Amino acid sequence: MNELTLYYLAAMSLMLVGFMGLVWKRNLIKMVLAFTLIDTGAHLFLVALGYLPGATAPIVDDAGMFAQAQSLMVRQGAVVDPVVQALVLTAIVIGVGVTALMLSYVVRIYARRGTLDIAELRRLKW
Amino acid sequence: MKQLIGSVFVLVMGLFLWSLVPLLGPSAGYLSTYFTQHGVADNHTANLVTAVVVNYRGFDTLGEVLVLFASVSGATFVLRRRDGLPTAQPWPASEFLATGARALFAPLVVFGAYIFVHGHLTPGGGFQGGAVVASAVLMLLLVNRDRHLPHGLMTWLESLSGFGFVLTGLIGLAVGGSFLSNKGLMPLGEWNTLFSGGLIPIIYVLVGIKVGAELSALLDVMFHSTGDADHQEGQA
Amino acid sequence: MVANLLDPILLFALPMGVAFLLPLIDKLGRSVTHAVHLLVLAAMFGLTGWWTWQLAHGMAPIEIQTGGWAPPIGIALRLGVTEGLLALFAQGAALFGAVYLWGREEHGDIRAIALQLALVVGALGLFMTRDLFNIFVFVEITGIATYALAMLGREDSALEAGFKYMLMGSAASIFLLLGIALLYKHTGHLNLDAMQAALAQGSPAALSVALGLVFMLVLVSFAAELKLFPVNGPGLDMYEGVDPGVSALMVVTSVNGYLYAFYKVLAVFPAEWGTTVSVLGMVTFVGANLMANRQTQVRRMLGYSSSAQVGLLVALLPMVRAGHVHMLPVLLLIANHTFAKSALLWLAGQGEKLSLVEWRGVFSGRTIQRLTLTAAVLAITGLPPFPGFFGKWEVLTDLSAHGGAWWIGAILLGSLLEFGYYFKWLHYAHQGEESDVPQVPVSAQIAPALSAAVLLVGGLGMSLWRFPELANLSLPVAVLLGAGLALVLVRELSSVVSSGLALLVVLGVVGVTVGAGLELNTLAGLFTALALAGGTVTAIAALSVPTLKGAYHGLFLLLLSSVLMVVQSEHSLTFFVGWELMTWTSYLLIAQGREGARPAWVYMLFSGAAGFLLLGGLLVGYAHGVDSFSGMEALTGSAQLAAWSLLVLGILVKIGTVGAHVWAPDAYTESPDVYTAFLSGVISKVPVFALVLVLAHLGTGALTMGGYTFELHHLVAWLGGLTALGMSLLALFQEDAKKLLAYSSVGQLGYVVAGVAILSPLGWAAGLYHAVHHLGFKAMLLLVLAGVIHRTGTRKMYEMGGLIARMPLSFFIAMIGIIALAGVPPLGGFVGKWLLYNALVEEGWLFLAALMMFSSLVAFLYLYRFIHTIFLGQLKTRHREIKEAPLPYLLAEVALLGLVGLVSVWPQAVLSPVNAIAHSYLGGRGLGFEGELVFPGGVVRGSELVTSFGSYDPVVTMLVVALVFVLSAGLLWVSVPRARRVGQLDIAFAGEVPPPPEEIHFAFDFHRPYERVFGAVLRGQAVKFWRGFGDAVEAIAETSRGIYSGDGQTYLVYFFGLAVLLGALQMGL
Repeated sequence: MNELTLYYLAAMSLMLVGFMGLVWKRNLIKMVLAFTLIDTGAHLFLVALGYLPGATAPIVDDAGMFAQAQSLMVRQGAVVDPVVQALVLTAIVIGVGVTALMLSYVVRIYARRGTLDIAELRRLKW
Repeated sequence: MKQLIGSVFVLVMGLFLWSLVPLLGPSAGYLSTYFTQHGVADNHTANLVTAVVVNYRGFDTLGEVLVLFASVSGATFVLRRRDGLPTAQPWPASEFLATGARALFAPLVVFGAYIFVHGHLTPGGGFQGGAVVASAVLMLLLVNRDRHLPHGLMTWLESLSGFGFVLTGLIGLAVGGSFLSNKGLMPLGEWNTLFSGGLIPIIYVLVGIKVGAELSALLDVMFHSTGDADHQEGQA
Repeated sequence: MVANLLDPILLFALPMGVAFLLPLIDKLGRSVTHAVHLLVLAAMFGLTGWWTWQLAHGMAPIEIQTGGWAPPIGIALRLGVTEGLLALFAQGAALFGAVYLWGREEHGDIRAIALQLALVVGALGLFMTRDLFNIFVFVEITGIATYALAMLGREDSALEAGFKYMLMGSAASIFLLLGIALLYKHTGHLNLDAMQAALAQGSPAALSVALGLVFMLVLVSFAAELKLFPVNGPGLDMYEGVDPGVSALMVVTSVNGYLYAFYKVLAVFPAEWGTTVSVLGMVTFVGANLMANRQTQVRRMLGYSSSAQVGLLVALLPMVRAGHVHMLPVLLLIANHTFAKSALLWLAGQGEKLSLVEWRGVFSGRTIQRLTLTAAVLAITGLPPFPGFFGKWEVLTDLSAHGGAWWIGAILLGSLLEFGYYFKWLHYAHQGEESDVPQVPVSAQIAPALSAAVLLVGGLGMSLWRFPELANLSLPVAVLLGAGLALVLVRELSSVVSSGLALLVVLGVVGVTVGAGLELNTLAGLFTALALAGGTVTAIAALSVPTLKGAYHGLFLLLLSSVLMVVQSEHSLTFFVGWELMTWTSYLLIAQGREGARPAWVYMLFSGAAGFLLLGGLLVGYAHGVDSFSGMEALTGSAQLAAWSLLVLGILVKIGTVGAHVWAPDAYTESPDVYTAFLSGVISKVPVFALVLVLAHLGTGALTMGGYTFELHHLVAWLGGLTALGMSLLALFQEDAKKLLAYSSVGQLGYVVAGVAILSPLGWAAGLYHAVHHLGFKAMLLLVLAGVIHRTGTRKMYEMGGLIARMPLSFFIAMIGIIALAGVPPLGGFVGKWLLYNALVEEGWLFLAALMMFSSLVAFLYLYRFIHTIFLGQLKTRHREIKEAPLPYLLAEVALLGLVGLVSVWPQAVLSPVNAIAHSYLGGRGLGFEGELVFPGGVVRGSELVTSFGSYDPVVTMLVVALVFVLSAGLLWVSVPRARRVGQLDIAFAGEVPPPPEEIHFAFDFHRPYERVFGAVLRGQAVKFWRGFGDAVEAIAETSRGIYSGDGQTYLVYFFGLAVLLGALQMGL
C-alpha cells in the first residue's frame, strides 16, 4: 500500500464513519458532528487528489525554484496541485458556516422542543 | 431496521468510492500545471495557493466571504429569539485561564494579523489569520461570558472590509478590464517580499479583517444565545 | 475606464457590496434600508433587462472574465438570452417578494434583507457561472441563505423543517463536492466548457466507470437540492413549515438556479445518461402530483406541486440537450412556475396555516385575491392564455415529433392529477360566506397580484409572438375577449350595468358577424350561428338576474369568444386554445352557482381528461407533421387509428356519453340558472362540432383483429343510443326539475351523437338538425324553469304545482318545448327523429333504431311529469301571489320559440346547410357516398322532405294539427259545463297526522313503478364506478405518501439508497 492509497483510505474511513453516524445517531449534535467528520474526510480526499510523490508545498520560496518559475520552467511534479488546496480552503470555510448555522438551529430546537432527538421532530410529515 | 438498511447503503457507497481509488493515481492536470508554471510570473506571489485563491479564483473567494457573511447573519438571525433557555450562570474562569487569556490575547491578534498580511508569502492567509484573531476573542469570552464585543467597531470593520473587497474587484474591472483583475493598478513588486503580488495582499488583509470580525461576532452571538429576549434586542 | 464598469459582473458586485454595507446604511434609518433593498433589486432588474433586450436582438452572449484571466484559467461567467431571462424572472419575482415581506415585523431585521440579497446573488451565480466549483459556492450561498431565512416568522415548525432540510442539503453538497473533485481530477479543468471538451475526446473504459459514479454523485446531489422523488421529504416540510414568503423566495431564486446549474453540469456527461434523469424527473412529476391529492394542508400541497413541477422541468432538461425539445418552451414553463407558484404561496400566506376546508370563503368579497388565486391556479395547471399552456404545448409537440409518446402520456397524466388538487383548492376558496380570517396588509395583496399580472401579460405577449396564427382572431372573437376580460377585472360591477353591457357586446358581435355575411353552408358558419343565437338569448335572459355581476358576464363573453374560436379554427393550436379556454371559463361559470363548487370541480376533472385525450389525438397528428384537422386526412394505419380513438374518446367524455356522464347532471343543475341554458344549448354542442370534424377528416377507426375488421363508428353510435336511453330513464327519477332537464339534455345529445356517428348524409342531417333544434327547445325549457325558480325559489317539483294560474305564458312556452322535445308532429322533434330512424334503417342498424324509439317513449314520461307537476294540479298557498317570469326571460323564450317554429316549419333552414356540409366532407372521403346524396341540391318538392322510405311535409302537418287543435278545443269549450273550482285548502285530514308534505304530494317519486324496474340497474352505477376509481387513486396516493415519515434520518437513508441505486445502475450492475 503506497502513501497515496493510505491518504485515500483515511479520507474514506472518515467519511464512512460520518455517514454511519448520520444513520445510527439520533442526537442532533452528534449528527452535526457526523457532518463535520464527513466534511473533514472529503477535504482530505480533495487534498490527496492533488498529491504528487516527492513534491513539496506549492510555495515558491527558494531562489532556485524561483529562477525556474520566471522562465515558466518549474519542473513537473515539483510542487503538489495548488488548485485542490485552494478549493479545500473554500470548502472548509463553507463547512464552518454550515456547521455554525446547524448548531444555532440545535440551540433553538432544544429551547423550543426540549429534545435533541431527531426522531421526535416529526410534526411535519406525509 | 432503518439503521441496518442505511448501514448497508453506506457500506455499498463506500465500496463504490473505494473502487475509484485505483483510478486516482498521482497526476497533474491542465490547471494545476498552468498555475505551477505561471503562478509566480503572473502575480509575483510566492504562495501559489494564495495566487489561486485571491486572483485566479478570486470570484470564488468573494463568494466564500459571502457564504461566511450569510451564515453569520443567519446564525444571528436564528438566535435572535432567546426564550426557552435558562440564562447561563456566569462561569467563574480559573485564574489560570484568566491570566493566560490576558497574556495571550494581544500576541494572538498580532499573530493572526501577521498570517494574513503574509498570506502571499507563507502558508496561511486571510481566512487562517482571521480564524486566529477570532480565537483570541474566544479566549476573552471564555474568561468573561458577560463580556460583549464593541458592537459599533465590529460593524464598521465587517462592513467596510467586505465592501472593500468588492470595491477592489471593481477597481480591477475599471483598470484591468475584468473584475478582481490584478493587472495595471499596482506594481506586482518583487517576488518573496512583503510588497509583492499587486492587490493580492490588500485583498487578503481585507478578508482577514472580515473573517476575524465575522467569526468573533459569531462567537459573541453563540455565547449569548440564552437569556431573556429584551436583553438581546438591544444587540440587534 | 469607467465604461469598463458597465459589466454584468455588476449584478454580483452591486448586491454583495450593498449587503456588506447594510449595517452601515441602516444607521441612516430603517426606511432607507428598505428603499435601498428595493432599489438594488430594481436596478439589477433594469440592467439585466437592458442586456437581455440586446441579447435577444442578436448581440452575442456576453462572456465575463474574473481575475483578469480568460477561461479555462479564471472563473468565467456567461450572460446569454437564457441566462438573462432566468435572471429577470428571479429578480422580478424577488422584487415582488420583497414587497410581500415589506409590512412584516421581522422583515425589519436587516439580516433578513441581507440574506434575501444573498439569495438573489446565489441564483444569479448559478445561472451565469461557467465554472464547476463556482457552482458549488453558489449552491452553498443559496442554501445557507435559505436555511437562515427559514426562521422568518413563526418558529416551531420552521425549526423542524429547516433542520431536516439542512441535513439533506449538507449531504447533497458533500456529494456535489466529491463529484466536482473527481471531475477535476479526470479532466484537469474546472471550467465547464473545457471539461466538456476534455471528456468529449473520449476516455479509457476504466474512466467511464468512474465517470458513471461521478454522474451518480452529481445527480443524487441535485435530486436532493431540486426536491426530486424520493429525497424530497425535507423540501415538502419546508413548504409546510416555513413562512410562505420564504418558500416563494426559494422557488423564484434557488430552485431555478439549481435547475439551470444542473442543466449546465449535465452537458459534461454522455447524452444517453440523460434518460435516467428524465425518468427520475417524470416519476417525481406524476408521483408528487398524485400524492398532492391527499393533502389537506394547502402549504404542503403547494410543496408537492413544486416538487412535481420541478420534476417535469428536470425531465425535460436532457431532452433539451438532445435537441428534442426547444429551450424556449422550457423557459416559459420556468417563468410560469416562478410567478404562479410564488403568487400561490403568497396567497397561502393568508392567516395561519389553513387546511383546505378552512379555505372556505376566505376570499369572499376580496376581489384582488380572488382574481389572483384564479389566475394563478389556471396558470399553474397549464391553461391558456398563461405561459404554462404554451410552454407545455410546444414541449409536447416537440416531443411528439421525436417519438416521445410515453413521455407525453406521463406529462398528460401528471397534469390531470394536478387538476385534481388545484381545482379542489379553488373550489373551497370559491364557496362559502365571509370568513373571519383577517385581511392581510396591502403589500401582501399586491405581490401576488403583480405576479398574476406578469403571467397574464407575459403569456399573451409570448403566445402572440411565438404563435402568430393566434393573432389571426376574427373581429368578433377579439371583441368578446377584450370585453370579457375587462368585465372580469371589474368583477363586482352591478348586475344591471354589466348585463346590459354584455348584451350590447353580444348584439354588436352578432351585427358584425351577420354584416360580414355569415356563410351558413359551412360547419364553422352553422356552429357560429348556433353559438351566437344561444349567446344572444342567454344574454337577454341574464338581464333579469340581480345576483350575476361583472364576473359572470365577463366570463360569459370570454366563453362565447372561446366557442367561436373553436368552431372557426381548423388549426390544431387555435382549436385547442379555444377548447381549453372554454373549459375553464365554463368551470368558473358553473362554480358561480350556489352549490356549484363541487360539481364544477368534477366537471373540471372530466373536462381535463377530455382535453388531454383530445390533445393526445392532436399530438399524433404533430408526430406526422400535421397541425390541423383537415391535414389529418393524410394519416393512415395505426396513426390514424390512434388519433381517431384519442380524439373521439375525449369528445365522448366531454359530451358526457353514458359511463362518462357522471359530471354532467350536477354541473348542469348547479350552474346559475341562466347559464344552464347556454351550457345545454351551446357548450354541449361544441364537442359535437369536434366529433363532426373528426369523422369528416378521419372517417372511422378500423380495428382489425384476426382478419375481421370492426369499424369503430358503430360503437360510437351505440354509445349515443345507450346515452339517450340511460339518461332518459335517469331523468324519470329526479325530484329536481332542473336535474330532470339536465339528464334530458345529455340524453338528447345521445341522439345527436348517434346521428352523426352513422357517417351518412342522412345521419348527419338527423344529428345536426337535432343539435340546432335542441338549442331551441332545451334552452327554452331551461329558461322557463329558470323563471319558475326565480319566482318560487325552489327546484323541487313537489314544492310546485298549479303554476299555470300564475305563470300562463311560461306554461304555454313550456308546453311547446315539451312537444318539440317529445318528437311528435308538428314540431321539429319529429323531423329530427324521423330523419334519424330513416338514417338508421337505411344503414340497416335496426336494433339501434329500436333502442332509440324506446328511449323516445321514456322521454314522454319525464316530460309529462315536468309539465304536469309544475304547472298543473293545485297551486301552493305560498305561490298564490307570485308573478309571471320577468320580462327578459319571456323575451328570450319567445326568441327561442321563433327558432323552434322556424326549424319546425321550415327544416330546410338547417337541412340545406347540413346537406352542403355533408356533401363537401362525406363526398370527398371515399366512404362510399360518391353517389347521389339523399337531398341532392337541397330539399326538393316544395316544403316536403323525401327519403327513400317516405316523405314528411312539416307545413301540411302543422296546418292539420292546428286545425284539429282549434276544432277540438272549441268543441270542449262548448260541450263541457263549467266545473266548480276547488281551492287547495278545500280538503281535510279527518284527524290523521299528515305525513311529511312532500310524501303526500303526487309529484313526489312520481315514477316509482318504473324505478322499481329500472332503478337498481341504473341509479348510481356509473357514479359508483368513478367514485371507486377516485378512491383507488386516493388510496395509492395515501399509501405512497407514507414514505415521508417525517424522520430526518429516514430521509437521509433514502438519500443513500438513491445513491446506491443510481450507482449500481451506472456501473451496469
